[in-house]
This record gives sequence, structure tokens and C-alpha cells, in this order.
Amino acid sequence: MTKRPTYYFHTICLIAVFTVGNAVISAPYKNASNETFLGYLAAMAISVPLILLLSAVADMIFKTDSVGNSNILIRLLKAILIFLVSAVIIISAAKAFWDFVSFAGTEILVGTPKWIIAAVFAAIVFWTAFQRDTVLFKLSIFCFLILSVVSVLFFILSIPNFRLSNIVLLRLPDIKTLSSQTLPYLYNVFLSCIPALIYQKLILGKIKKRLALSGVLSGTVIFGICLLNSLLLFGVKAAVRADFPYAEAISTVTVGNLFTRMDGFSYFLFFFSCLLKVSVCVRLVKVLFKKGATL
Amino acid sequence: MTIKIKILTCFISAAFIMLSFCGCTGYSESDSRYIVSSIGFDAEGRELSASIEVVMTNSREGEGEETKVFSALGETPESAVYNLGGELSKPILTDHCGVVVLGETLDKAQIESVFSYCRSEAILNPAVYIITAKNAESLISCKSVWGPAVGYDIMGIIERSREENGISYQNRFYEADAASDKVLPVFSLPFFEVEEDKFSMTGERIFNGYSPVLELNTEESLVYSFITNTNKGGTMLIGGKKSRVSASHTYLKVGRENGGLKLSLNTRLKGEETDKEFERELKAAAEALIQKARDSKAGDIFGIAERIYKKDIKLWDKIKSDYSKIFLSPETEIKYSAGGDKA
Repeated sequence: MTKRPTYYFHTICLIAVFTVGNAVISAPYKNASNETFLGYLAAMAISVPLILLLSAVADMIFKTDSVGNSNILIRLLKAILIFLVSAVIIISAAKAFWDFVSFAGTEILVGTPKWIIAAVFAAIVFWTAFQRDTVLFKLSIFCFLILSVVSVLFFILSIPNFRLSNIVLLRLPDIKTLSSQTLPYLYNVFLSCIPALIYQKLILGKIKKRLALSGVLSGTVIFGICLLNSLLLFGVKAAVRADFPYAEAISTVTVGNLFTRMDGFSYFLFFFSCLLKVSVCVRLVKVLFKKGATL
Repeated sequence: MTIKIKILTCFISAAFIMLSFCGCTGYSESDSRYIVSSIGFDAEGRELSASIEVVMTNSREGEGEETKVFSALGETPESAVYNLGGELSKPILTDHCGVVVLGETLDKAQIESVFSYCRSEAILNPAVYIITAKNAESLISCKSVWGPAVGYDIMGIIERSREENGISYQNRFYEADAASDKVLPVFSLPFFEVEEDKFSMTGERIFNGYSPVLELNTEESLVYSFITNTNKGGTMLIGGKKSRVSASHTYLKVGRENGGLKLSLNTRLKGEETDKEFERELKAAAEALIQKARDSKAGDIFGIAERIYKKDIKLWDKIKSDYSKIFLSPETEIKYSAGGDKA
């Protein structure tokens, strides 16, 4: 008898890559102030109970034994919830898709019409989305390892140029300021992993809370390293002025005389995290539509 | 193929793809564009003159590289660089630009517009060096000595100076630009002079809010780096006295007295060869520099305001509105000492 694969490590990687996703391209966000890193830490703390709650809700919505329930009200409620979840997933995918296309159009393929970039990226997304689940899972491990190595490596290489004073807070922020700095991270980083939780439920049959938390925390640590890299190098105000702070932070690193523009590493990082996020979302929407049709 | 080999193949392929993004590969890109190694800006009446030094490669013919300088006028840095197109037969590639030179004739508004240009020009590396010169065009028109272009020679000079005497010029674009976020927007840029087609770094120029306020010679630059904690250690020569300093830190004590400030700066040096004589020379040179800054009305060029703000925010809140006046008033006393810690 062959043992059914568990995909536990794969799931952690998938959620981690989802958490980094397109959020890393433009962080810190345009309304960021000196308290932005504190906001990120606050969002990290809030996300733990939030992810547990979301996992429980997702588990409840997609409970397998309730499928085919004859009660018309329950079926209707379920259909509405599936519709809402699908909407969240589509919005999440559309934002990640547009963020990457905008980034590529501005930084990599300057002058190329955006629709061409969008068409090429969409083709890659659809090709990836219709691969087997195992392919997506393996891709997520690959992406996760690359993300970890690149973010840590460039953080270390940038250390000589860091200024700790860039993130030092002289006054504790009030609740209003802190919440305005926390919400973008909560929205762009932590809540963006909802599709990954649902994917876990639909593929593994159950949302394992420990896996979900490990994935979100691994992703936020990588995201935090990237964010800290930009903030320590440029300072909050200068980082906010940049369109793509992390890509610019990486471009300041030079290795010898040969590699003076290392931006390519950030392009790769953005490409894979966005590709995986959009592909999984497309696949999920397909599965959810099927599920909705069977109600 | 075993799984390990598959994984290894995946990672090697990924590394190749990532590296392929990192530079100009093949001859097609470098042959189809002019690589800009430095950009200079001077004022011509009310207009701005943009000069670019371009490296032209002829890899198809197997010939070496040569550099040429092109100039054009415009109302803004963007329009001046755009107007250069009329002289060039190929588009320019600014990704590898090493240096942006600000000519002495530029006024405050023009310098600000150059900073704004560098900020908005996404293809310009944020780590590009910003420097100053009497005339930007004359500087980049000099003959390169070591590298393929003057821009890269200038980068080499700044980096060598950083390694030798430890002066960490805060003149990468993102470093100079960060000054606008400080309580006093003071930043310094290396100053280059041209003599008979040869160029050399002769000191640095201090700016306050994009206005040049003071010029320092090489020795003063070294002392300035100690006071502002931007010296990373190296071999120093102050007042004819040579020393090897491995690390240094200048501590600041702030007090208030009779409407003025009582500031005491103390530089601690670490190094095998630091001695009392060198410390005495450093003290004399630092006192002279502080006096020069006060006499010239350049004000606080040492970032003391920023340090007071970070150290004692209540005191800063009290004095910030009149800080420039308070700093220059005779009631304000600045004491400097250099005490060695040879641990």
C-alpha cells in the first residue's frame, strides 16, 4: 500500500510565498511614516489569531459533509460564501497580476506596451495554473528557497550601508498612527494568504492550523527582511519616494567589478512570487466554480 | 535522473537566469546604445547645460572602447538630457552611470531640480555618486587615466580614499537625498578640480538645503568625517602628523546656558599608532574647522541638530524654531576634545 503524500512542507512554502507575493514589490507603502516597521510588527502579532480564525471559517465553509445538504437556505448561504471567497481570490489575483505587470513595464521592459507584458505573463500563469497540484507544490518549495536565500543574502551584503537610525523611533505613536501603519501590512501581507488557506483545505482536505501559522510566519519573516533592507538603507521617507524600494535597494549592491547591477535577483523574486500567487488563485477559482455548480 | 540531480539542475538554472538579468550580455545591447558613464550639469544663464560622457564600444569590429562628451541645453535637467538626442545616433543607456556632477554655477533651485531628476529617473542607479566641480563639462571632458571613462575613474578615486583614510563620503544619491528628511538638510559632496586636463579630488563642499555653504580641503574633510562619525578608520595625516586609526566615535554632550547652547564634542580614537600628538593635532584642526563654520555663517554643518533631536527631543522642541540663530550666537559654546581609548 502506497503512503499518501502529506505535502506538509510544501504547504508551508506555498503559504509563505503567498504571504510575500506582490506585497514585497512596493513595500513600504505610500502612506508609510516612521512607525511603519512598528506597524508591520503589530500586523504580525494581530495576524496569529486572525489566521486561526480564518482557518476555522474556511474549514466551516468548505465542510465536505455539508455538500449536497438538502436545506435550501444552507445551500444558498454556502453559494453566497463561495461567491464572496471567489471574489476575494479574484481581487487578490488581479492585484498581484497588475502589480507585476506594472513593475515589469516600468523597470524591466521599458517602452514595451503593457498589454504585451500582460499577455505573456497571463500565458505563463495559465500554463502553470493548469499543471497538476504536485507541480504547484514543488514550485512553491523552489520559490520559497530562492526567496529565503536571495532576501537573506542581499540583506547581509547591504549591512555595511545600513543606518540603524532610519528605523529608530523617538516617540511612541498614538493608536491612530499605529493603526494607519498596521492596516496596509495586514491587508497586503497577511490577508492575502486567504487563497492559500483555501487551497490547503481543498487539496489536503483540512486546514492544519500549525501549517498555516508556520507558512504565514515564514512568509512574514522573509517579507520583514526585505522591508527592513529598504528601510535601513534608504530611510522611510526616501523608500516611500521610490516606486519599487526593494528593487532599488538590491541595485545598490555590487559584487566585484563584474556584477554592478544585481537588480535581476529582485526581478526573479517578484516574478516567481507573483506567478505562483496568480496561478494558484486561477486554479482555485476553477475549483470553486465547479464546487458552486454542484450545490 | 535522481531527485537530487533534478533539484540541483533547478537551482543552477535559476542562478543562471537571475545572473542573466544582472548585466549587459552579448554585444547587441552595448553596440546598439551609448553607455553613459557620467552626467554633468552646469548653469548657462537661466538654462541648464547637460553633458554626458558616453562609452562607445565597437565589439563587432573588435576595436576597443572610446569615450565622447555630448552637451545640450534645456530648461530642466530632463529637457537638457532629452535635447542631447539631437547629437546622438543611438539611444543612451544610463543604467551604468557612475557619477552625476554638479557644476559650481548651479543655483539652489537648479540643484534641487537635478536631485528631483535623479529621483524620478528610475534607470539611474540610486547608488550613483553625486559630486561637485567648478565646471561639470570640463571635468567629464578630461582624459581618463585608469579606466575606460572619467566617470569610472572618479568612482575609483572616491572608493580608494574611503579605503585609505576612512572618509565615508555620504555622496551616493540615496545618501545625499536622505538629507532632505533630516531636521537640518545638510549633506556634503566631494569636490573635484581640473588642471591642465587632469583632475583630482581636493576636498568636499557642504550643502544646506541644496545651497552650498562651505568648502573644505582634504584635511578639513578628514576632520569633518571624525566630527560627523563618518570615518571608518584608516591611515590619517593631520597637521603633518600621521596615524593609523582603526575606529573612532565622537560623543556629544548638550546643555543650555544663558540662551545659548553648551556643546561638547569628544572624539575617541582606537588604533595601535594613535598618540597624544596626533590627538592634539586633531583637536587643533577640529577647533579651527568649527570656528571656520561659525565665522562663515555656514551654521551647523556637523549634524549636531540631528543628534540633539535624537538625543533630547524635548530640548529640540524648545530650540528648533531658532536653532540656526542659537547655533551661531556668541552665547553658544562648542568645546572639542580628542581623547584616545587605546583598548
